[in-house]
Amino acid sequence: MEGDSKHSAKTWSIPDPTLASGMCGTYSGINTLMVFPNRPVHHNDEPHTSMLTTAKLYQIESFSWLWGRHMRKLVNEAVGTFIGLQKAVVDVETDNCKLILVKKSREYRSMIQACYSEISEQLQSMKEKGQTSDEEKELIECSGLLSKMELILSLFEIVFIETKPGSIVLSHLISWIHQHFPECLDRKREAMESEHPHQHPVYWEAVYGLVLQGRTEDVRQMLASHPNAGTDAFLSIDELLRKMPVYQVYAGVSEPEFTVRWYHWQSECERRLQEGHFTAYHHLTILCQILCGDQSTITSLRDLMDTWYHFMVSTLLFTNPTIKFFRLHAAAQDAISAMRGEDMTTSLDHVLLAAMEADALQVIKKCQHVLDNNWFTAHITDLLYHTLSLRNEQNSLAKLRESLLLDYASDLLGHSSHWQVGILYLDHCGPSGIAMAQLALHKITLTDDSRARKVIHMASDRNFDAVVDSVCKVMGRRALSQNRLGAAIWWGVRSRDSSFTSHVAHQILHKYIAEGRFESAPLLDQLGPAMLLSDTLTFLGKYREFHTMYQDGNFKNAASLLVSLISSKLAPEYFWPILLLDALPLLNSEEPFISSEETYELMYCMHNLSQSSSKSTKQSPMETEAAKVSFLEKEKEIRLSLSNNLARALMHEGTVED
Amino acid sequence: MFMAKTINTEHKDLIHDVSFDFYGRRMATCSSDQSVKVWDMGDDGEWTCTCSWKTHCGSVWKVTWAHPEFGQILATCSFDRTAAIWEEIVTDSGHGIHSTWIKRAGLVDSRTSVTDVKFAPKLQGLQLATCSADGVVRIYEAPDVMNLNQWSLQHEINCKVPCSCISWNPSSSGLHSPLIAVGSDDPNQSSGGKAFIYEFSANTRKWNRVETLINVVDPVHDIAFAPNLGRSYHLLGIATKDVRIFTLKPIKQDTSQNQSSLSSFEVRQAGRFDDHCSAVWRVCWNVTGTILASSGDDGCVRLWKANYLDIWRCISTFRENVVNVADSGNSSNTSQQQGASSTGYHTARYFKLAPTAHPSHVPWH
Repeated sequence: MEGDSKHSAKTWSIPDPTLASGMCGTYSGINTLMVFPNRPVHHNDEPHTSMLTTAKLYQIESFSWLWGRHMRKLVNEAVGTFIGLQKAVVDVETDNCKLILVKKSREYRSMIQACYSEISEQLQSMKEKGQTSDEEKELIECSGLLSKMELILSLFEIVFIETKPGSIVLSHLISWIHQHFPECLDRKREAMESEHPHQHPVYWEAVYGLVLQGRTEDVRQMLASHPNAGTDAFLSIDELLRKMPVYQVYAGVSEPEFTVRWYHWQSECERRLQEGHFTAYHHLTILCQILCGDQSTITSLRDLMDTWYHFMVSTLLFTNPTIKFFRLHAAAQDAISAMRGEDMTTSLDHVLLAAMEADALQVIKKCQHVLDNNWFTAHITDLLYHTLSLRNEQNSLAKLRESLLLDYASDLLGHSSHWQVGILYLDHCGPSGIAMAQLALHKITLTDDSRARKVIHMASDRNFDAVVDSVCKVMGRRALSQNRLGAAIWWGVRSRDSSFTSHVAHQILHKYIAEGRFESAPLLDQLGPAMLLSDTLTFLGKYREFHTMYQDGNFKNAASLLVSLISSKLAPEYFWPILLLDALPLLNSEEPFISSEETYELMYCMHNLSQSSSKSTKQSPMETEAAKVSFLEKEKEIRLSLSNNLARALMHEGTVED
Repeated sequence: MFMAKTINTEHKDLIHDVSFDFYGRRMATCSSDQSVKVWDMGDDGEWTCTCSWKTHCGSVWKVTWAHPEFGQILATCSFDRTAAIWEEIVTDSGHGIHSTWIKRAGLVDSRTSVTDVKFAPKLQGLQLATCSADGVVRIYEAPDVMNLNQWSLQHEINCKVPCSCISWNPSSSGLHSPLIAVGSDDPNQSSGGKAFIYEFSANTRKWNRVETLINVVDPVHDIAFAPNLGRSYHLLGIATKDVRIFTLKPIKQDTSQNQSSLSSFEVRQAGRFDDHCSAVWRVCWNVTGTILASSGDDGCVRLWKANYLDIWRCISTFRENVVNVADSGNSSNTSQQQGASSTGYHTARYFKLAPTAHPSHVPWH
């Protein structure tokens, strides 16, 4: 997002000297680039090079840690939370909205944590097996990334979602530190499990570490295990720890009241320190100095706090427990310079610092710049967007949110197994999202019928009729090229493509003439009203109906259908001989199925046919020489049957009339 | 992070074009060796050459795929002054599926080298545009999409300057009239703008020049409309002596006005980048129209993307380079990138690309 293009882009090297004389890149898909050696030519000269080796292509794909198999869950669960969030903010009243946003943010965090612990387990088992592979390296990288994301997100949650500007933040920050720096509890356990805890080398480190996080109960427990716990000094410090006021938003203590209590308590600490309650015990003196908020003491213990933000929170706990949010930034700067100076700061520090400045845009910008994924930025921007619209603040984030979600969605679309998740995100990205979803569904590779059905399903859910049409057309073409004519008809009907279905229907008829049986007959029987799409298809469907009637012994109806097929001229001319041959058994049957009127129709058709077949062979409607010969053989028989039937039908009709 | 793998083409001469089918699962390459090769991506993601054949009697400049709704169709254009239409015929010989490409039509109207060939968006039917060094753009159409042997020359547009490249506006909505952008590589600067926009008028059934990008006076080597992502304007990438990105916003016309009057555009230059330091030879959009890849005389391929404020910038650069291991102060990153990993991927030929040192790339603690 930085402006100057020349300095913000990364350069990637392709180690192939054949590309040195020039290369060219073309896109395939969303995130795949094909690079090939190329040098410019002028189109008026024909270039030739004698190549020692043949040209190589380089297929370059953007690759993210998100595609690792451990992250699959993160991708799939996050989309559920994301969609839930979009629905919830619409449905719920504004009062509950904040709670929902906090809840959703925690859901994201728990996903990250679950992923993190899964990877940690995997790493542990790899360590036990003694494997050191590239995979391990990648997993370590991933787990580092996840823990940082969690750290940032939880601070983000405190700063941007949970607290109102101008409110007291320290209690949230303390729990943030509790969560991410549990080492002092480990030390406590280690010390307490030994035979003589107070002699354990980490005993006092644990005590200081705990008190710096405000865990007074744990400190008192540890001190109680000291052999001198009964002495006045120990009892005195225990009382101070017990009475330490803790500010909580909903504890029913107002801020000024808390401040009074706090100063009262801290002056008591100072008094006891001055009066020399703890002079006999060096360690207790330090402990009490911490409680008094003695800056130099806390600074001297900074090695117990790994990071400047831990240091900052601990310092504030004893020096300024009611710090307002907007003063946090100055405290953060102080903490950084006390810890190690500004020049040692990392990208993570910058992100956290920006969060403490409540500069959301900066947080997103920095995360986007350094984290190798759009997952995080897309989701936090979405959270932030909803938080801000909740407060009715002027929401400048709409465009940024949309653009980041589009980026994340297009990453997913470019991945062979995550494309469906990508589509779900696009549903919430405004008009560009809809346009991209349409484009993406068009472009999903239709590997097989089930994939095609899936795409059609997703497209019809969203009323993307053009996509449905296009998928059906492509599938129809493919079925045709594979000679699966029945399937081709079916896809053609679905896409309502009449010229294509006609073409396929003709092919089916030709195949019937050649082989004497129908391709995928059951499919044709179920066409129903769809057969009206094209004349040839209608004929095909009706002709199948005739076959079914004939097979069922429904000769009367079969006969009239056959005659109507012939007289309606619906049948392609090359098919007439077949129809006449089909009529033969009906003409010869004892009971007259074909009336005199109908017989005239057939005779007329016969006449036309024999006239045209007597002309030059080229104009003959009959497909092949063989078909023609077989028809000529039967011609006499057909004519005979026609006249016999006419006679019988006339007689029969005459009888009935009487 | 980027992963790369190599594909050995076995082309015996310069490759001029690599083109992908609608889904990106099939690839066609063409070369000065007069042949075209078609590659199919298997389920394992590997490219296999399924057909290679001689297409022309000269260098094949461009190869392009038709929309799969029309079947598997390729078009090529060549120095031999022709363009050709090819259709795939798949036969199952019992020993496996065998693919052959049949020449359906030769388009021989040009008297000079045919420099570019592109199929129209599918909404316009099976249409094809070619352009040639003599300055003529030709639009062909197959009136019956089930019969590829018949192509009729529908329009001839004389651009009066040698043409090097064409691009159809892929905007799929029926709201716009069809548009074609044409670029000229005429080296004469004084002849004015080198990129033109033609619009098809449904009333007069003619292609009219509606815009000349007058501030593009250097030879244009490639031109490409971006797929429209629901935007209210068209995006055009141009490769000339620098990378140019233009937006063309249609100006709404009063319907009471004469219908035949030319619609015009509000043209704005959204980006102009001389990072290649010299001529730019190719521009190409990704399928969503969000990233533009440019290739230049400096041997680099650069990727361009707009941020949420529509400010374009370079997001990645690729260059030929033997990996520079001695990146100082960046040890944690170099070690992670050098680990050319093969685990977890189907092919051992995938390798990670190494980034070169960059100040903004600060390691995490």
